[in-house]
Amino acid sequence: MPETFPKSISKKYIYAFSVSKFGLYYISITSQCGSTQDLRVEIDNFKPREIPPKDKPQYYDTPPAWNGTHLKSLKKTVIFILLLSKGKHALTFVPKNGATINRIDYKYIKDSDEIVFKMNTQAEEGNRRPWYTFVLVNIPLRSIGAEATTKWHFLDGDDMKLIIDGKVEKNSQSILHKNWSWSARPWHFLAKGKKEYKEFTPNLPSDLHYIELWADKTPILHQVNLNLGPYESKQVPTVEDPRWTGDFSDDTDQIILARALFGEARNTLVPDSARIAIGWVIRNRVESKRWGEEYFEVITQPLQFSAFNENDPNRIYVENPIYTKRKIDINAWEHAYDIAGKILTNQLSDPTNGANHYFDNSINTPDWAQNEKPKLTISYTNKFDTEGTIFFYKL
Amino acid sequence: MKKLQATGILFLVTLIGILSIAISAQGVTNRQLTSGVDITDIPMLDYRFIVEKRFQVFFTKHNETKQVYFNAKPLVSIEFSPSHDRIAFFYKSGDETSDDISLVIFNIKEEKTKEIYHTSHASWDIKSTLHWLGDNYIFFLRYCGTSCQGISLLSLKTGHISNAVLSYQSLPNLPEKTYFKDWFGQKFEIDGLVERVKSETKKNRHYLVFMLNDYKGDIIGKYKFLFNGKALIGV
Repeated sequence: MPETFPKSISKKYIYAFSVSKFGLYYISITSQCGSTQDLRVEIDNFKPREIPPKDKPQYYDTPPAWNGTHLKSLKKTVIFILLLSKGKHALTFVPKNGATINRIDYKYIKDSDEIVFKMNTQAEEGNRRPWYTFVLVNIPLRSIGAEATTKWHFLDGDDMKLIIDGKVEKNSQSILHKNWSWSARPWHFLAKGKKEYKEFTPNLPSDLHYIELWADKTPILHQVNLNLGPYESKQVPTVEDPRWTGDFSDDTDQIILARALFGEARNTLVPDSARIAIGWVIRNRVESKRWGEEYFEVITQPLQFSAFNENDPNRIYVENPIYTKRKIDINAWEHAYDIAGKILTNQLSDPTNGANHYFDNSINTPDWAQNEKPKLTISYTNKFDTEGTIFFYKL
Repeated sequence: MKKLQATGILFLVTLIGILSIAISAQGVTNRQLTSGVDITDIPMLDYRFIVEKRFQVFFTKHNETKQVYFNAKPLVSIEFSPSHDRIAFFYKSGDETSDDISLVIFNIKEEKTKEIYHTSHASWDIKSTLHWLGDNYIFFLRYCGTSCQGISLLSLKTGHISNAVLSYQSLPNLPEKTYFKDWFGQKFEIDGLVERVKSETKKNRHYLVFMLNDYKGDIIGKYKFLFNGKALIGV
């Protein structure tokens, strides 16, 4: 069971925990924020933001966060469902003007075919606001079912609605309450309430998904069933255990970007400014969508980043950056991972002015760079103690 | 006495002919890896039992596989010279903390080794196995950047390295083409993607060979150049 944690926090708080085996887990966090407060949580290096991502990242006004303006001190529970590797993990709570943590739970999910959460919880009295959010991290979802009871309270009734990745599931049985799939009517006034199980089949592929349940007044949520469909949990490469699964699409963006930085630029002659610029070349390619929309697609495009070529000696290193178990490689890998994370979270800005190509001038100028003007040049002292230069281009 | 010498030379030439190029990139079987063996301790007759696999070199004989070393450091690539009188190999010449690789020529007849190239930054300087191009040159891929690869040509006589560049289309969905600027300043435009580069010797002529792929990675052909030490001539 979780260790103790402070109920009230005013600054960043890290809750460390460890799990004894790799697998699918849920992490459930119940918190409250007053109208001037906000709270978000990071799990290891996973920093939830809006989906789909926009130019300006949003972290506090998102389904996995606790936004005080919406909640007005009411409790909200966020349940993360994700694969965790064996070993230590950390939940980082990042409040704005403070927050209250009510409960933290985590548990290994034994049967991923049908995940059942038995809540039997009644919402606190309050108007339309987020109540539960399920955060599926690189997990598919075939269907979701929820059982809830709604009652009529003299002038108004309980309601509950379901939002899947920002899209409200419509109630086809009601025109007045078309956004509220569970909803009480005046004629339920004399009854104990209306208990309904409703199921939705969005058939979502493996990705990041936000499933929200909003409450109006005091509905009772009895249980939620998640059916992931034919889902096989694979070992997810981590910074501590980066062995590839045989498929780079199983990597997180940070892992595959770190692999590319490690494979392309662990050369100790090269300064960090070059590694950052190379990382931004990859990010610029992802954002342009011309080479693919995902990091793994862009990085594994044939002959674009040679460390991933099948016949390249560096290929062994990108498949498992620490296979040599040498300290020099472990340090370089962890450093590449750190830079990758900072590029993905905008902690390092783009020094290349949008470049999407580069080359090192130890060889002749490639055909695509002929007559082009570089956006950035980075010089370093090469092994001959002369100046080497890496040129970055936007094509 | 002269007759005896001639017989000996004839035997040696025949033996080398039989051995042909026994060193290949075929897979190592599941036989037990027992221990190491130094390249200079392998009898010439047994060179055919040397294989390369993913930048490691193994010696497999009598169901026993040994990793091949030089000076207690592992080899990463090996190839006979076209005239079969020398072996060139890369080996990890540094300590555990280094990225050092050296290129050594082992003269089989004289049983002498000579280091002819060394780098402390192998992750950029050596990006492929080594290949002979005639008896006086060795080439291997080197780092370039996005959408390109370098090819280093090392002259064994002078120790000088020249660098050529293969570059691919700068943007996706363009026709599969490779632009090659060789060591002598010539430019070639080739249909197909050159990922693997090798060499051939036929009738004492030495060829640089580009294996051509499509975007799916399927082989669609090859492109050959005759190498005469001063130029590459497309054939």
